[in-house]
Amino acid sequence: MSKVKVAFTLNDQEISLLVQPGERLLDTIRDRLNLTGTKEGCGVGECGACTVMLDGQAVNSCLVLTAQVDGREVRTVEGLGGEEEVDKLQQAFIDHQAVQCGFCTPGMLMSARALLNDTSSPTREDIKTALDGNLCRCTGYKQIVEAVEAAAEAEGAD
Amino acid sequence: MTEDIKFFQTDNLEAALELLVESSGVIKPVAGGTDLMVKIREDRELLQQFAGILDITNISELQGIAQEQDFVRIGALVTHREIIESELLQEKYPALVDAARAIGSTPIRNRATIGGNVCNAAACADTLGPLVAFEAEVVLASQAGERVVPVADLVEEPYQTIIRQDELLRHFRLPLPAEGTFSSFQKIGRRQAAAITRISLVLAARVSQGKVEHIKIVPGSAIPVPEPLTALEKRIKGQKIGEIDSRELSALAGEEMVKITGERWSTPYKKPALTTLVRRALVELKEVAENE
Repeated sequence: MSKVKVAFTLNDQEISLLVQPGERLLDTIRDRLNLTGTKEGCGVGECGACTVMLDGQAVNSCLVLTAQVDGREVRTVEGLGGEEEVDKLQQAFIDHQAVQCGFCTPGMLMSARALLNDTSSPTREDIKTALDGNLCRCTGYKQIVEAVEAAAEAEGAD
Repeated sequence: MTEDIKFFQTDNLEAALELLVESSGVIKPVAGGTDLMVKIREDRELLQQFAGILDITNISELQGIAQEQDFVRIGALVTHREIIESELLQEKYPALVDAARAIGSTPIRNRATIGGNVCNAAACADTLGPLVAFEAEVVLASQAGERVVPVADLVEEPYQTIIRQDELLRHFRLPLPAEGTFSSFQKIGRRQAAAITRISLVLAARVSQGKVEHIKIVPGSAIPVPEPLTALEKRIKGQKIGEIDSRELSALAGEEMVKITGERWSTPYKKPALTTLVRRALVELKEVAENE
């Protein structure tokens, strides 16, 4: 068994660990690092429940080899907001009741965060495109899109 | 997952090519991994077939989009997101940009590369059609040197290319389109996002002094490997744009497809679908040409 040493930044902290060559970033995050906010849905890049940010871009962590993120920057839902307060985006999801069962929420938040970091005033079309890899099977998408719009506005006002 | 395979990573093209030759088994290059990871999940045994995985994402020779003298170079590692955001590609090859936009979803487009799309060589690979329509070539690198192959000759059958085990796809070369070249990409999927293409069409054409001077019509997901509908192209080339009968000519596209594939279970759907896509593309071409 030839394990691979990887060192990367996870939620602003430098970490270093040994992983299997074929190990998925999703499994490393959940099973080795015990950050269970990131969910596994389909496992084939269709549902977006496992979305994290890799160097600022939304990616499906079920399709990324952990060994490939050596030297890079990963952010999961646990890395939004601070110890005491939630991210503006999370607050907007709460305010707009954009959460029902909550399983898709971490992925939705990470896709939306990647968008808002790139674009300060996204159009509704921009938001829909940014969320096109995230499936929600309970709320419908209206509240989610509205929450992202509200968060963009709130951040623009700062 | 039990694995005896090794993981390799290098930013040096020479070192990567050497590894492909010197290893005692198959070394699988991986970039975005959006196809490979799905295949591994479907078939856990698949990993055992490889002696190692080689992460090529840090090799700078395989990255970037640039205009050279008479062609545009697109590195194998260029992601679909980079294609969509490239002003140069938007201007020169809009059908390629639209095809990239139609692929997967935002997180997939952030990772998946054009080189991967082509090397995986699915019949539904959305970038293959535009690359063939724009008469692109690939540059394949190995320790023996480089060889240049037209994209149209690259795919032997679905999921099978002529790229050798010791080669890496380095970059694509797209000839600069002549002034006034029109191109369009259309796709039918089951829904808008994250949908595998059921059928697609690329049309690239140039109309000069009212006549069709150049035309390429390449369907996707309709025939096993990406190739132009040459009989149809021949019929259209040289015709006066105003005299093009979109309805009649588009019916020929469906017939030409069936000549290539034979009657299949999907023919009753794909034949009229392709016919419609060709008709729409011709109607749009006429509109654009007549407004100029």
